[in-house]
Amino acid sequence: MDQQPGRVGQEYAGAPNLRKLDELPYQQTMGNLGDDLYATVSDFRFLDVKVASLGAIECAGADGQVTKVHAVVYLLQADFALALERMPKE
Amino acid sequence: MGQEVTVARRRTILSAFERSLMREAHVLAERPDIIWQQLFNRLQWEDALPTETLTASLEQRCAEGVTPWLRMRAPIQGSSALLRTFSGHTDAVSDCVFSPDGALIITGAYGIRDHTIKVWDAQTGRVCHTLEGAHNSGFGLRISPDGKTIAATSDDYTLALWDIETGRRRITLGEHRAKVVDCAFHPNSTQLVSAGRDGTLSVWDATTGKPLLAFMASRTGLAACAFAPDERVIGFADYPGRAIWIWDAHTGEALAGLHPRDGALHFALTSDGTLLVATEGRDVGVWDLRTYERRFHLPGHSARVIACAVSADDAFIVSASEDNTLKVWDTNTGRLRWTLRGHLTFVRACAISPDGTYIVSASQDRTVKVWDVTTGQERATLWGHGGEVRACAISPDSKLIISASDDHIAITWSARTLGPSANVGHKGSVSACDISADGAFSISVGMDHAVKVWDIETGRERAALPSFTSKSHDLGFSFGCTISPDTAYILAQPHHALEIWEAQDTKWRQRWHTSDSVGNWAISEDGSTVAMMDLNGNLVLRTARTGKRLAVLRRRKVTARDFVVNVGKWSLISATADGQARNWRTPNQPGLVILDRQEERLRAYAISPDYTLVGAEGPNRTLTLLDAASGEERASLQGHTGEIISCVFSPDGRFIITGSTDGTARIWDVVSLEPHAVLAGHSGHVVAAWPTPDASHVVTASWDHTLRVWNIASGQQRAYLPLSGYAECLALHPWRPIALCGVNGGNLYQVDLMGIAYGPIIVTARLQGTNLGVCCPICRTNLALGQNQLGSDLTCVQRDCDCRMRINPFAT
Repeated sequence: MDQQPGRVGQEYAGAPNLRKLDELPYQQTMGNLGDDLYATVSDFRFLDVKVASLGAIECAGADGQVTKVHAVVYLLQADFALALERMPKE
Repeated sequence: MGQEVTVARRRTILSAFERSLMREAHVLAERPDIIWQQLFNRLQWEDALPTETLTASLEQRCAEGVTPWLRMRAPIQGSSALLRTFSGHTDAVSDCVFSPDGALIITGAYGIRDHTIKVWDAQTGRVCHTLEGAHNSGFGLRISPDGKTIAATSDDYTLALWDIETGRRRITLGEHRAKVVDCAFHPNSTQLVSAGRDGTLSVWDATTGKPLLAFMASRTGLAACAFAPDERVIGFADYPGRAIWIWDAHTGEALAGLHPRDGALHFALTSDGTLLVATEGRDVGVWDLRTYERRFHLPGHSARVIACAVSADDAFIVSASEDNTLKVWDTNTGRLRWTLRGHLTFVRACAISPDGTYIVSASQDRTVKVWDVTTGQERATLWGHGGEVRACAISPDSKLIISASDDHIAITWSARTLGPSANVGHKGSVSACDISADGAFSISVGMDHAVKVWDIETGRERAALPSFTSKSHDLGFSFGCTISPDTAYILAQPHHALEIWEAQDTKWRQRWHTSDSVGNWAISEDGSTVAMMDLNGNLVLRTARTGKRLAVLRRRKVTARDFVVNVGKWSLISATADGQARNWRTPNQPGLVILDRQEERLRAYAISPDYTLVGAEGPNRTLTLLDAASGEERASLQGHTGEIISCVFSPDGRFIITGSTDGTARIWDVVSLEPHAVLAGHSGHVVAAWPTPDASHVVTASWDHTLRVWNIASGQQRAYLPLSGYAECLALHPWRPIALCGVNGGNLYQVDLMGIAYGPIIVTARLQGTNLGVCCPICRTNLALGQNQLGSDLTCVQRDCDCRMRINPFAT
């Protein structure tokens, strides 16, 4: 999946590949690609593009009031939590 | 990249990323665009993190033309145990609890602006639900033991049951004739008891909402209620007396009355329901609910006991008091095991870990402390809150601690990683700060009465100045600090006296008692003279070096609440508590009143760099510009919709910048007397809005917990830094893009304005005799000037200095 075109990887021009931004750490974790995973999630260019591209979610509350939540931070937390959980102890 | 990084190293680094992300999640959920700034400012202090992880990214973010960001030069207070901040309430958070399974956190705010209960995911920090219109019981949040329901009282005489899973109101229980003050679930979650202010006690079916029993329990009203495990309900009568009554939950038959020696403020039941522990004034009472006999009366505290708790195994009781201590008592014998000392002020709440190994206390001193049950010793002090900590709780697995505070947030702490806090900042609000004219060091004074000196380059504390002013043990007021313009002296008012230290070796020199006002002293621009209000309300001029009295400027009407604004070379402007500003020119003569606000206190004022204009808050939220010599009004500028609380001229004298309680800062053109820009974006008082020394930007500090940088020409916001509390004070470096901001929690932010390059530094030439000269702000060399150089640019001639200066077209 890290060979897919998009703004993540070597290439930063053009429209972001949203699916790749969302799933790349998950796929690298589940594929046991430890080196690649480490390189991805500790790269601030990746983090920057991910938070900029996976924008705000508008949530309507019980009272109908719409609030804007930038849920991408929770996605990032999930990336790190899963990566650490699946990482070999040594 | 990762080939040479071992798995262990990778784990360390990713753990540091995860930790930083968790600590900043509440900020990034609102402002994900500042992820680099927030993570870098956390990660740079991680000991285990290799510098190469950040170096490449840092180089990119330091390049010319990058988006401005704010880099912290020193760490802020914060225990290593801090896991996550729960931000979303807009008022003091008074309650916090874990759900019985530990997966959710429930917090309650009951202020004017925010009257909600929030349900959070403990793992991610995400708000699951906000329960609007839910009130507290006064005795804490009530969660059903099965973890499915929140019961909350409301002002409309009803009691509502909310589904924790969906956040929806499931049932509204009516029938009270007065406000419902408290409620409690039966241990099996099927029934609920509620207490009304009118003294009615009601028992409800918690599943259907059907009323099962209602009776008048107390003619003086009820303050709280509880459900004992064996079908008995307990009611706490309101004043007078605050007796405790026990009834049969099926019949309403009164079974017994217990009478604390003083009104019970808080109570707890043992897990088997056989003992009732209640506070009674300065003491704690323990009653046996089988015999209704008092088992123990536990005296020992020297002030009111306001909270108590019983351990899960019922082995010991903890009481928390306004005498700043907690006490641990043996339940079986009533023997005092430990007195836990360490808090500086009132203890507000306490909790015992379910595994019985530690105790947590929350205090007005803004800290949470963790105590070892076995030894009675303090395990850790948890720093991170910017306000009084009102509540605390521990997760069912004893691994997490949560605390809630006046600073509108709740924080979760890891009970496993109780490392020491970084010894940075102050133990109380930072009320004033200043940076030396040579740019080498800064000072701060806090409500903890400490005066600290900081190294600008390293951000580290150079010295804590010894103070000889008598101190009270509690946190009190402090009034300000400044460094003399020649960097020879440090002046600070850590208490009710102005103290002076040598800046070089921080040696204490002298102390003068002053009046009680904030900022009631100032030092002249050449550093030679200190002007201060003495205890009699006289304006006294002294030499800074020896303290010798030079002159006493007397006023016709003496008040001890005057304060000095500015001591110029030829003029001395003072402002008084009665709303008057004066220009003093001749010693022993009353100063000329140039502004009179008719007894309304003058809080914001400034004098222009050429000493010709005074800017001050005028009537009806206007900005008044006055002739400094005559007091003649030049302009009255309207725009702010709140009080003006900050006012300063730009160093070129072209603009005057004001900060207001309306959440804006405004830039006014002094030449055209028109508004230039409105800096809108803050959501709280703008307590300081200072121009940079090149007059290109304005830095604002606000009660909305942010520091912001704005471009003066465009009025656009360029950078934004979340703070840990209300901003209290701000200072800017004289030539480098560095800002200092003190906040109410005790943190002093030392910040680089990255991506903001200063233009020529604006300086004002001095006329000495017939000679014109200017002092280079960097190397402090005095440079001679020709008259034709006024208004032009100049580069310092000193080797290795090359300071670019823009000389004002006037001299003083």
